[in-house]
Amino acid sequence: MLKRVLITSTVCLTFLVGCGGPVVPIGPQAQVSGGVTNNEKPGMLGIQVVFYHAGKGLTLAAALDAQGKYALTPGDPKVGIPVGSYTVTILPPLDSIVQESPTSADYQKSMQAGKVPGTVSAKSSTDSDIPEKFRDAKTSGLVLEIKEGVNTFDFDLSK
Amino acid sequence: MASKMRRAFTLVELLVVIAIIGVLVGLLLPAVQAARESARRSSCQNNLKQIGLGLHNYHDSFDAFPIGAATAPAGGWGVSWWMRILPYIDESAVFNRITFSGANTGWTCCGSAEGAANGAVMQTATIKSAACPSSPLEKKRDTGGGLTTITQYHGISGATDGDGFTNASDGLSNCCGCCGGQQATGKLAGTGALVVGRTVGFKDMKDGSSNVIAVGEASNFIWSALPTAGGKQNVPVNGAHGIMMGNPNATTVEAAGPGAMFDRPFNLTTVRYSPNAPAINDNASWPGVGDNYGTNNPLSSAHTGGVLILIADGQARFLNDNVTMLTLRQLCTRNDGGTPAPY
Repeated sequence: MLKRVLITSTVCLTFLVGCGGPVVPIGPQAQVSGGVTNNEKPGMLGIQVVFYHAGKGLTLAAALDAQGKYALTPGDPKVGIPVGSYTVTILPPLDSIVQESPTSADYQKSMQAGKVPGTVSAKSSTDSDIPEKFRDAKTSGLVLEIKEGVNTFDFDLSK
Repeated sequence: MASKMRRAFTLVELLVVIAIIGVLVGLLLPAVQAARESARRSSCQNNLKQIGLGLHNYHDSFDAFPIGAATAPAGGWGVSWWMRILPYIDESAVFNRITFSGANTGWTCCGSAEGAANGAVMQTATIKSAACPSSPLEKKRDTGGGLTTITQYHGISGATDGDGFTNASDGLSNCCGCCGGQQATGKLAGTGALVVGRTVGFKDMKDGSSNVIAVGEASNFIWSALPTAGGKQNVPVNGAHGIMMGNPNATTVEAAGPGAMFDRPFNLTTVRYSPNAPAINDNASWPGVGDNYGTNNPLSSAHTGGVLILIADGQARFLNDNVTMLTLRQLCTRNDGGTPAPY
């Protein structure tokens, strides 16, 4: 009797044991952090540092804290922060994105305006602290190589 | 003693049988679920095939694919390519009720009498080929003028520069001059198969229609960490306006030239990110991504490992997530002259 119980429980346990394990990132990994300074316009809270990896077609973005520091966190722990060449742009805080209801009066006004290409300034008043050239990948000139391990990148917007 | 023993199964024997049955069911269930997903994927692929047949039949009639996102005849937001192919995908009943003349015909909310009338049509109409059965997104959504179908298949209007790929000098504009803020960081190409303000035919596809993606699936959530979204939320792709919505700019990307600022087109995407790349990330903060401003919304799906796409020659196939961005950019551009690597 005892023997049969033992055999049964062994068989059951064999099937119960699953294939679990911690998430291990694929490929070489990096940590990225740093700071942004701007002597002319201090007050950097919320400004977005956006890294674009053209080869992999992905973006990693981080917002600055009150001291002007940032640290990238991977969106997907399985992928981590892939190493490689990134283009950096520095963009206004997310707060300045207008997320209005489609039925609000302001939204309808802007939709009715029927904008003509070339004549639209898309800047809002809240995001004018960042020089124009840092907002576009073509003009920012910030092409960086993220290497395996710890990376520190500081940016100066007054230059 | 032995003669008194009743012929019966012992408790242990029964338990063993139950355990074996349990294990077998455990093995079978994932297989059944996989078969169900496989069937949904086939159905999704069939949708794309129908869209492809619709586009080809439209091409037979008009010698070109429809305008990807058009302006309305009397100004304002016109209709998307979806509305043009309706009679060719067996949706004539809906097509016949739509008003194509007037102002703001594609804006199913608030824009004009014609738009409001079209919005009323879309509240009751269901366009069968517009939704992937695997998708977790809502099929219909209130966009201000009542429920409207939200399509999960977007026209490909080209790709952004990068990774050794460069558009023709006049092939890329800035995008989404709406409402201020960061949306101006979107990039809009006019080098795909379904583009803003003009028709593209097989004669315009210098790479050959077998090397151009016409339509791609964007049927999974994007993630938003916007404070206005109330913390991290998943957001439907292009969910702010529906399947009808086109574009208000009465010009093309080529005519506007590089550096011009466009209003955002709907139901189109300019490929900038890899398929499914951002499924877990806070990607609503990525430049050009969003439910209302997403001119660079990534292709996405709930299928494992990739998305379904429609090639301009009519084949519906699977595109692996691991496709290189250079290959993807070449495939999304109709006249880059490059030969995409096998994918």
